[in-house]
Amino acid sequence: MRNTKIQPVSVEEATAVNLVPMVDIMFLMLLFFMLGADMGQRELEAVELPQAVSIKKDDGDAPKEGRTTINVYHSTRGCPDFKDGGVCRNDAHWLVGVRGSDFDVRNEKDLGRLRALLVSDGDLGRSQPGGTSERAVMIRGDKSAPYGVVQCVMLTCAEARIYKIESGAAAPLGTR
Amino acid sequence: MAAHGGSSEDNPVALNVAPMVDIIFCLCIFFMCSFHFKQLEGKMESWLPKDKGVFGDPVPNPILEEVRVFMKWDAATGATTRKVNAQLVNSDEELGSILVERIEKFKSLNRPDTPVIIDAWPEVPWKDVINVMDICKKNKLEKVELAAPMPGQWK
Repeated sequence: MRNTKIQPVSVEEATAVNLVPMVDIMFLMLLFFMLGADMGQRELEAVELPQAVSIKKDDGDAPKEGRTTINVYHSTRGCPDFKDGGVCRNDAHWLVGVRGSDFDVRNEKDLGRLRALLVSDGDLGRSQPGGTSERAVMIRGDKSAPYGVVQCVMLTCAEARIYKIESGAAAPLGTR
Repeated sequence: MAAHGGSSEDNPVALNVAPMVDIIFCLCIFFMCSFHFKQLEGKMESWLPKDKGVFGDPVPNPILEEVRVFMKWDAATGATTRKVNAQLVNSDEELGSILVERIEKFKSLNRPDTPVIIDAWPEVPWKDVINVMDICKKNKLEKVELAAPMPGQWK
């Protein structure tokens, strides 16, 4: 009679998980998120720009005299009017931010500080003291910011003898 | 000499990928949670007056001698009303065609440099002002000016 004893089967290798495809896919996901993420601080304030079709692409091609970025942003968290893209018309909620400093344009003292800052920035692009400055100012206004605040910033630029103004806008999705 | 069949247990130089997978997992979760798409940003260039001051000279009859877009924020409806001189405008297309028609009229009167002046109230949302500038650019109206505020209008 033949010996019919069944040999035990080693299942160790058959159930081993092959991690290589998972690692490949995770690498790809990591690359996608790293390259697609917007890590730019835009000089600190979060601004949702208005959309426009006929904008010039901003490649950071500032003039050699440099560029000052001014953000006009909503500063109050939890404002019910501003929620979901609404329009908040509480003037106290709107601030002007330059390099991490906040300015309330309704306040004369703040406006004086902003003017002094723009004058000193403008000095970097002046060929003669008191002359017009070749330095540019980029105004990144939130889409629902009151025009009056932006207008006030422009007037302050004019007082600081800076005349090159760039208004930040975003390309609508799918246009580029 | 024994022949080895490629088993990882038998390979003395096999890499342990588990810590790498852990770190990639953590990085993936970090980027997924903090992710938002890059916004394609651009700019609209403008120049403030260099020589004639901020406020310029008053125009004697602005309704007849200018192409002026008046913009007023209506808090009740939450919308901006737009008028070209005295004519109420509802849609963007209508605004574009009216502006082109009026500028063409000024060109025929030998005044090709007539600008489109945007005269908005301080409460008007910035996006509506940008939208009018965008409409002008789309219709090849390159000379666009922003009206200076009345003294003390904002402050």
